[in-house]
Amino acid sequence: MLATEQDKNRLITAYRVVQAGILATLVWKISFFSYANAIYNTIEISDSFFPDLLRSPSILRVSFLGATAATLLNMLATSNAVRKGCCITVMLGLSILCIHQGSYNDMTFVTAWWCATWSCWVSYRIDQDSHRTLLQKSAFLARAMISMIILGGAVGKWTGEYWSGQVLYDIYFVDRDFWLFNYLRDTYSEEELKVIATWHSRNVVMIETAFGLFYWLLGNRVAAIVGIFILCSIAIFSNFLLFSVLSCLIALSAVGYFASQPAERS
Amino acid sequence: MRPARHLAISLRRLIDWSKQDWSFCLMTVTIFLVVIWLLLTPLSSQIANHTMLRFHLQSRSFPIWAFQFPIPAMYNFANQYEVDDYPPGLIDPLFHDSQPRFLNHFPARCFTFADARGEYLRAGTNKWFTITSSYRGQKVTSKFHLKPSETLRHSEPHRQYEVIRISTETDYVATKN
Repeated sequence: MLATEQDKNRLITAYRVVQAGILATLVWKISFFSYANAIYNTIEISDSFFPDLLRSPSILRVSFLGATAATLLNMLATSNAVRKGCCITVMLGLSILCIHQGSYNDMTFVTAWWCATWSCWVSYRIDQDSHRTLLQKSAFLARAMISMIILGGAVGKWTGEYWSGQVLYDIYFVDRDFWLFNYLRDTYSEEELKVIATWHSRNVVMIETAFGLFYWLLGNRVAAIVGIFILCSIAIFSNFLLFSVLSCLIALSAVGYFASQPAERS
Repeated sequence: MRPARHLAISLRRLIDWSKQDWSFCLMTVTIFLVVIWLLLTPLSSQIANHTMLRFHLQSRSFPIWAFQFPIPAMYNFANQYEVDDYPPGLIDPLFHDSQPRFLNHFPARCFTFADARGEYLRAGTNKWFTITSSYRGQKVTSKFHLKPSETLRHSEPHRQYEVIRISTETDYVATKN
């Protein structure tokens, strides 16, 4: 196989992996979304801050289902014209979800929006760049986006309430039904739990800060391994629902793996 | 390869790519601007206050609020909420039984998001929500009244609430954490 063809295959595979990540992000909490759908149909909140359209449950439903269907099609598409159309549809749907009254607070849609932006850019560049160059450029942009998103989490935690562990203690250690926190509550006293929460919180702040500031500087292969490992560990040790926020970022970090393959093989 | 040399080569390559491809340049600059905004948050009380007002759905206008959605905010700031059946301050603190709890981000989700609506608004009665966000000595407190609509009040199971913004207060505390 020619090197250029191999590069094209790698690029398309990386692109499809990211679509699979966005799809996982959108469907991970499907049971919650169907519950939300029922609630929004029966409990309506009239708040003049949001325009009428961005309070409508129908708009929420169409945006979510439209973005999900377009992502699935994007993953399977072989024509670049179809990919571009899907990317625009996904970006439109996710943009609405990011500012709708019923979904604005869910970071799932923000991380998916950044991954959709990456996808849109790649789909428009496929015909214009050499595939090898595009792989390198897209791997850099993927790292920069992940760095920025994690840095966003870190900066918000640079405050005393996180350093003391107060916030994470109340959110996770007091009553969260999750294997790790259930085990800790069964094993340690309240005072000991507070100390564990403090060091857990400090650990989170330091890892996110280092990740956010330096991840973009790593080489392709190292970045892929480090990104997948750290992002998976955040969900595994905190809350499996976080996979809905992180799946697309895990897939985006895998782009570095495809970009790190050797160039010349025929 | 030494880190400084690696960094120099990477930056050189970025500049070359940006010169050849305006769309790559635009993407990189957008990410860079978001990073600058984030890094200024602990240094500028205005940016921190702006973000807390964003969290409280109290930005100056909806377009200003909506424009900020790409800025990532996972588990940001110390956000607390408290839900009461009576207006805050009406009941003597001795008999006040609600406890403030922490939330990860966007604390107004305690009445806008599905799980919270299901928990607090299903009964169709008046509710008062107090939300606070604090960051490095700064604090914003907002109070909301969720008032059931008279017209639809008895049409079980459908509920309709009106959001009434009671107050928003910003405190600048001199001490830095």
